[in-house]
Amino acid sequence: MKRYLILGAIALTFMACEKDDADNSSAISSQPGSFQEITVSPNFSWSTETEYSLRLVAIKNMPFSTSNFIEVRDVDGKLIFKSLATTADNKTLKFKASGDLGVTTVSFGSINKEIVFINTSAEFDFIPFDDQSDIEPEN
Amino acid sequence: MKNLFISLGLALAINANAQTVGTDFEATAGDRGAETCWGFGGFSLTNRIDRDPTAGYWARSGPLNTNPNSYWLKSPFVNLKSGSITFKTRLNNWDWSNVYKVYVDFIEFDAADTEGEGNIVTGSVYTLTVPLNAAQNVSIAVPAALAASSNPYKVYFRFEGYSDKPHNIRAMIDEIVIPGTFASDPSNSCKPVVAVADSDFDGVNDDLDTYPNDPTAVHDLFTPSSDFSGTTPIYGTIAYEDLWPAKGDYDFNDLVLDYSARFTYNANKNVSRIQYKFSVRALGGDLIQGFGVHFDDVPNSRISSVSGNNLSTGNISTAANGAESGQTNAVVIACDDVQQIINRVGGAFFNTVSSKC
Repeated sequence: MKRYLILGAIALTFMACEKDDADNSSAISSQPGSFQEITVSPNFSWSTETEYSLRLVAIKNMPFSTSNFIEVRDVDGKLIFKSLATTADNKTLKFKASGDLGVTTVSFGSINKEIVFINTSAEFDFIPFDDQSDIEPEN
Repeated sequence: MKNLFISLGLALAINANAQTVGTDFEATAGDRGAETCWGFGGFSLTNRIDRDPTAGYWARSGPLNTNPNSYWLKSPFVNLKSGSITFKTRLNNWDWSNVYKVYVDFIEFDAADTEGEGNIVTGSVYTLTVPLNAAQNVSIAVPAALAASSNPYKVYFRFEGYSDKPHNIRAMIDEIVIPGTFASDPSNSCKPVVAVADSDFDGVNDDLDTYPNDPTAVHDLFTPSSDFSGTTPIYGTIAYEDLWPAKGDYDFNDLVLDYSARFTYNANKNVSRIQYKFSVRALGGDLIQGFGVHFDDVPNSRISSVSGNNLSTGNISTAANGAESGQTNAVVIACDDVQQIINRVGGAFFNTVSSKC
């Protein structure tokens, strides 16, 4: 019985491959006959980068501002963006990075926050992380 | 002119400094994390106040006990001035047998501590009078020695309470006002702001400036990326087909390069110089292979100088600034014949066949 199950699984695998290939070829409406026949629209973007927007939200209750660097690191910890900023900044920073950033770590001095870019946009405020584990649940 | 600018900036900063530090917990609407550089031990911010629905937000502790270290508040670092620290406080419950005390002490700055906190300077203890569930205005004088000191302090509020009956009594505090000026830096673990020199007068203090003696440079950013520290580049790789846009043999090994670009920014957040590093990984074409960088939207005239490139064929003509002449946007040819700069066994191919690596 086990042998038949394995053979069945292999057969299904080949059937799936065959079906995908057929679908792909039929989806192409105008296939160039050679490489030289390929034409690319003048508006086609050859860029492999994506532009991201990071909106900074200023601290409201500080009588002065302090300066530091906004730093964005990808999920592997690589530094991909860095720019001077102050705690009074209410503005949007734009930067380019390759691929889909997903989860990033955005830091401003000692402030570190995990930020997810959604549709290439995210928001960062300068408020230090508040560990609320000291608050009892009923309070 | 730079000195004039700095003097103007300092004057504006002094005018912007309020002469008191405090909070009434209203602006942050229950989000205690938004109370910049305030510390909370077991307190939440709530507007669910017994018998006083119009009171707005207060800070409320958990159930009090006889240990005053169980529940506390810490202010940001403050450069204290003479005057009185004032606040409103009360218990949420009162059954005639309660005792309620508020300790108001001060925390010195210690640069070696992760939160900058040093020794505690004893201040005052305030014992509230009945009825303990009615808000009472408390006023405690700033010690003269601390008001005269140039060192910043945190104000440390601690709470002690107990009852003969098994009541759940909680401390509540609001409308805190401390005479002095805010001195914490939220980007430095809320430690006090310290004066740092700006040796090159570019407006960026030396502790942030990678190039403290170069007014044209503040920091670097590597493309495509760098390590966590931002100081060690991570290289990208480019592969060329030398007959492009014709297909050629379509093996994309006619020239394979690792590259990294160090963009140096000035205090105005503009790029003031770029340093490219290239490493030839493979050379698989018969033609003479060269490579360069075309800078989109950067007019040729914006390049002041180019150095370090290797031009040997005579096929590239450059302008006085070192960029390729005849171009609208800047084009810098790094090398016009890669054969001249690689070390290899010999022959036409390099790192594309196993015998020529």
